[in-house]
Amino acid sequence: MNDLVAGIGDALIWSNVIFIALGVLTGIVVGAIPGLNGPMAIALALPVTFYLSPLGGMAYLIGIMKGGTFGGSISAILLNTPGSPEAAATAFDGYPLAQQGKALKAMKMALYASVFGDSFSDVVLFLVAAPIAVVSLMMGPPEMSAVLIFALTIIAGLSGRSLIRGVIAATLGGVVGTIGLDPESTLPRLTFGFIDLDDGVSLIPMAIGLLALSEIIIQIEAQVLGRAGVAKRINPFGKDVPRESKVVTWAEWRENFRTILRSSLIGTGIGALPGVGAVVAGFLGYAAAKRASKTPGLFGTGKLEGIAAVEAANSAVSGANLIPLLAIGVPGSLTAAVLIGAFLVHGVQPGPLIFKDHARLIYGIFAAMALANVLNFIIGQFGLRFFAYVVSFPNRVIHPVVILLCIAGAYATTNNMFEVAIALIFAVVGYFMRKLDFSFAAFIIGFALTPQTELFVRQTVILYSDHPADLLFHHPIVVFFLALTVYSIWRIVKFQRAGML
Amino acid sequence: MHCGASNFCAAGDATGNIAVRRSDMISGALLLVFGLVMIFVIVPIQISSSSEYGLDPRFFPDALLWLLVAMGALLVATRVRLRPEPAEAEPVLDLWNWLFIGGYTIFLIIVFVAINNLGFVLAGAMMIAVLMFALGLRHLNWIELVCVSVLAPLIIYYALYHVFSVRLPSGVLLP
Repeated sequence: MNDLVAGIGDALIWSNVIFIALGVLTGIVVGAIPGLNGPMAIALALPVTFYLSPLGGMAYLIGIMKGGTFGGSISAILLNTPGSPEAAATAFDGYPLAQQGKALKAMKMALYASVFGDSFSDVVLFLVAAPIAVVSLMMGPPEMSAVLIFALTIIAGLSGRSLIRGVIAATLGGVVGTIGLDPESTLPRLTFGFIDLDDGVSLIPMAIGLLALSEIIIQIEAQVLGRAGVAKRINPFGKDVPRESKVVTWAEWRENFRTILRSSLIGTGIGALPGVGAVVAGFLGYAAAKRASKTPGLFGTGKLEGIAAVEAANSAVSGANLIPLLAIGVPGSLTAAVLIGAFLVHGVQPGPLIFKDHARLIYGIFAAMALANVLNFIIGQFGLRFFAYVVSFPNRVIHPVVILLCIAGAYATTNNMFEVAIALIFAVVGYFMRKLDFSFAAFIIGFALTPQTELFVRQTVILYSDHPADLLFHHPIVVFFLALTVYSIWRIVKFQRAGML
Repeated sequence: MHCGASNFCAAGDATGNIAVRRSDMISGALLLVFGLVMIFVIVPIQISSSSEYGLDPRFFPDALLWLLVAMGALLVATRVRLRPEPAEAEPVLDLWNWLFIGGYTIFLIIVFVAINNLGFVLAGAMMIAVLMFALGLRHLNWIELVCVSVLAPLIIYYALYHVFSVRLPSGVLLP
């Protein structure tokens, strides 16, 4: 209880409140600019957190995560171009509403649904993460090996549209994860004589290259080759827009509440599952709302319910995403994988022990998440005019500056140009992965989980090499998760063949 | 055609007129070759084998690379069975994409070398100017170009130095 109170107190220190507000603001701005997105902003902001307190750094990143999800809806509504991929379905009804002169109403509904979905998901995280962590603390190396193998399978299978490509991406990430000194013998592996690689490839420059630089390369390519679409911007603040088109009335909120609640549940369920992300949640939320509606034919023509359904679902993913990360140390999403870097920078290993060893920090993070939702609401509500302006900022200015920020961010990781080289190499790798549809979520999570998996497998081998049959007869959880892995592969292949994934 | 951060959209869609089957077969074959070269050439040179430990240091890299080889082969095998795309199907990566990424990679190498030798501010200013010029050919604004390319690297350099004590390569211009 002392840790809980102390953690809440830490989150309310004025400097941390400012970091959360800055994070939310950064997230919304970055999310609103087409081509830039939340995970990219988090990767870019990671080096900054080195110089902040653990809670200050995490609070800043959490702010970005929450703001980024809502920010994506702004350009989806105003430009018919989602600022981030999870807002793709927001454009279905958002843009038609904007064309009808109701852009402000649409953006406000997106904000309210987003904040509600996010808060709902956070409450679930607060309630279930610690009990799951207690259970996972009872598991030894064999059980953890089996859980990680299962998690990797799910991530590889569900983070893309093809299980084979997902496994390839996760495996490639795993191969990169083995670079560095062998954990048992400390012999160098695949370091090619570079001392900088003895500790392995750093997650942060790699994430900057894969998430931020490669996306910018693709955006620049589309512009240089003349393949970028030109969106017609809608001004939501015109003088002739009547008041009722600018606000969400109480009746409209009540009318859509059931949809928002349903989508929040869907998003939370999807978020807790490793590998499935906000994009799927958004589409599932939209589809569920359409199925439940008495007027499904109106979806796609500017129905407020469509926006509410997508935004509540995709935002509800962010809190639930942290459940597997905090409870068992398995990042459930790209954002969670990048957050591992921030935890490790401050000497905190995500996983069940975090509730025991860093209870005050964790409760501080929970309080920061709750505060971030409030600030997301306030900043979103009062900053809409500014965000609508940001959307129209020219890419010819934004993209070169973001590249320079990426280079500076990679350098700041260890004050070494080697990290810049890593970021640039992975920028090119990321370009090909995007083009060829290899999931880089699977790649990064495979990379992040491999050292841990290797350690647990090695411990298991040392413990059971003389009597391997004990693993089957005395560790039912191992058998359960291995069986579940096989069953999951079968189901994923079946769903993919049926075109359901 | 690209996926953004989500990974949930395909680079090419079987229903569209994009040669996904062909690109999958090529990437599968390349991964297969990459895996085999790693297993039989690179790993033996780069990782010493030892039986003194519970698991050989090569065990995990080898296991993962064999999985990669198997998946590469499976990708080729599953795509061979699919119906070929029409001859006019647009490739996932066309000649212009290859030229762009080739040129861009050279550009990034030049930027890297320039930062090392000339420093972050000077190299950064040149990089921004080149990119803004390339991106804004149709709406080129020289004042905007000069202002952004000079101010952005200076602001980033001094912000990192004064706020976070990170000293970016100063090069020839700055002390």
